[in-house]
Amino acid sequence: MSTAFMIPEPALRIGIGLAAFAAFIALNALVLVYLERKVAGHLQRRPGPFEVGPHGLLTPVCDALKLVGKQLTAPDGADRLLFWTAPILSFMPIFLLFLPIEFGPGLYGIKFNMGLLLILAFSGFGVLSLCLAGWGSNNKWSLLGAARAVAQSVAYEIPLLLTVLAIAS
Amino acid sequence: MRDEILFQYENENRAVREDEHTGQGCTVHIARERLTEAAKTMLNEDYFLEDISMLEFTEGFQAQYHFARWGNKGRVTLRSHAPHEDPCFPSITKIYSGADWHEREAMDFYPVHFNGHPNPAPLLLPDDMADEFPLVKTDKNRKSFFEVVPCQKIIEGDDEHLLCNCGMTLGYDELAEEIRCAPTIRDEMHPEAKRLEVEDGDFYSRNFEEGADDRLILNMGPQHPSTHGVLRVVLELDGEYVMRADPVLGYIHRMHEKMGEVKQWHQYLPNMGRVDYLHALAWNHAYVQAVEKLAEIEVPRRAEVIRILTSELNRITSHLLWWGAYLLDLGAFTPIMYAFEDRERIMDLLQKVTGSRLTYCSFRFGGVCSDFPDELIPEAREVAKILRERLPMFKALVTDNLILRKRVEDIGIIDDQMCKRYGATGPVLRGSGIACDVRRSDPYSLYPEFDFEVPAYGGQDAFARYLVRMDEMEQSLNIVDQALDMLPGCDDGHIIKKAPRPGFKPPAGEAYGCVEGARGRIGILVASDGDKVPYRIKLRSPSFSNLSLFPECAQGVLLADAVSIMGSLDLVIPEIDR
Repeated sequence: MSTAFMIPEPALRIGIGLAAFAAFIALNALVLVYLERKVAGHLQRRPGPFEVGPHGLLTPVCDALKLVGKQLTAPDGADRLLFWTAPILSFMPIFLLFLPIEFGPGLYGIKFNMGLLLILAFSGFGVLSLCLAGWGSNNKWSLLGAARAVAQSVAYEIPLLLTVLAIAS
Repeated sequence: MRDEILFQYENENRAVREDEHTGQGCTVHIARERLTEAAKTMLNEDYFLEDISMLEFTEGFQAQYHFARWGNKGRVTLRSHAPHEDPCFPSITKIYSGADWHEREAMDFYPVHFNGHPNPAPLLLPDDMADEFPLVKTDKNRKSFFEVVPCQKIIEGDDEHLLCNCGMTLGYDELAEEIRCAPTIRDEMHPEAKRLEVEDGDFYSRNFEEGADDRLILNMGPQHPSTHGVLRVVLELDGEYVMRADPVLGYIHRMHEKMGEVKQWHQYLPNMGRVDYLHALAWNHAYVQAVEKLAEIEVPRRAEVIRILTSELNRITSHLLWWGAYLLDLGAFTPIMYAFEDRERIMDLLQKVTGSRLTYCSFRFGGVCSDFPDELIPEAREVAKILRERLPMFKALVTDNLILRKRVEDIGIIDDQMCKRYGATGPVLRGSGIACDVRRSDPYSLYPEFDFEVPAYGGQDAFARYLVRMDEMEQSLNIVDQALDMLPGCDDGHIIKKAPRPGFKPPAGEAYGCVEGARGRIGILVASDGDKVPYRIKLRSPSFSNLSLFPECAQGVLLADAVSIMGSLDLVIPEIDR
């Protein structure tokens, strides 16, 4: 077998890693969403999801299917490119965040010295997606909402950055 | 105190006697060109403007300016007339800022004009109804002033006087002459005094677009969740700061006052539950109180106790809903679920007593429609007991919460002078440190026999108003407990005595019913010409006055704080729009 057809190991790691993380995050989201709704429900003196499956166990699955089947609409006058970039930009960094983490000996996506910095950098993408969503929808309320959300995220990001760096160094 | 005020005008033989019986208090007849001067006197004497009621008679229009004071009992009504040919009054907006909306409302319903009004745009009616005046009487049913306010001739020596039952004596000829020959004040009129012509868009969109440079004009509402209904507030924003706020009313205006003039007296009772759906029984109470004063109907003691009991339970439900909804506005979802759980308990109880759960209509002229059965007393006590256990929990979980404190402390300062200028009452006033409550200052029903406190906080901010309402729930529970103790003792076998039959005709005259609702002072003016239907019903809603100070209060605050201020005013939109 010639080496010409071999995929380089780092690329393979990233590819497999991304697929694994995507699967993990999606499945984990189902469980966490279910638990969040259930716990919040009980705190708020109501049972939470209850109808689909035993104790509403299948509700997140139904929700996911419903979300996938949603019609894609964009507001009139919206900048379609920016408008659709926003959700992609907000989901993509989530998968990237996990790449530098070493889950066990040899179980990592990227071997990288400054993994922590990479994680912080990727998590900053969320703010960008908020900006795009607010601006791209060409709507005063969205713009104002985005501005407020960005201000809040940035305000939280700086203390987070400082604390994490203090621990890491 | 009052005598000094009543006035310099006394020598004109216009201010006369106090009539507790009709609730109208003291009436001063005053020529319209002296209104501004009189309003200044009232402001200096610490009176606040309750309401401006307009009435139409064959002689002309009568504007009634209702004033009341925080601490003292008794009200003063200034009455002024304008003939049909020259229906102008001077605007007192510069003296009482709250008069702005009252005058605009009067201009909506009657073809009158207030000279010098800064913004004579339609308030409650849509723009395209600017030339229609719903409350104008037809020639057939328009009555003379003297038919509605019956007078009897009194002859003192050579003088012939008329004694009116609304508390004034004056010579008939003198009054008629005054109305006829009122000096014209048209000269002072603003050049554009006629209602603004409607061009493109409504008044607000044009008014706001003009002044805007780099500023963002934003509509908050009419579908915004924090406006709790269909209030629209036009905001001019500079970044996140509110430069200008202007509430736009009338989205659920139903013309309750016109409905009052086409229905029989008792048929209007169900309307009261729809004016303020959160404290419906207070409006019930105000209306039956006014009609009982008018027709001199006696109410059995047991009925009064049941009225107080149910009304206070209703007040708690109203405050609970405000509490949950306010925290929902501020971003906390869980409290409303707890608030509704408790509200549900009270509503189940009220359902058994009054027959309905929200839009109560259980008061009748001369009593209540159904008795409070003895079997329900233990259940009511149990509900009160549970609530007493819950309130400290609410305090520990929410009131002491740092996040809430940051959102409400030192936000929306409303001081007592501002309350006076705008006529704000209820928890808004008590949050500015004035312990004024109609139940204490101008007691009605059996409230003097009850032991309760009027909570007041001097913080003047949203948090003070929050605390006032939380304390009021406790005080209402005290009243409920006392009323439950009183119930078995006052078993005189009647909950309604000599109930007037449908189609009854109360005597001609006027009466004013005034109660303390969950949002403040509720006042209902009823005028009767002795017919089966009322001649005029004027509703004074506390939220209307409380909201009118919002533009001033919200100027220069952050957008998020504007939401916090608006919630702390506890608005019920149907009550504002009526």
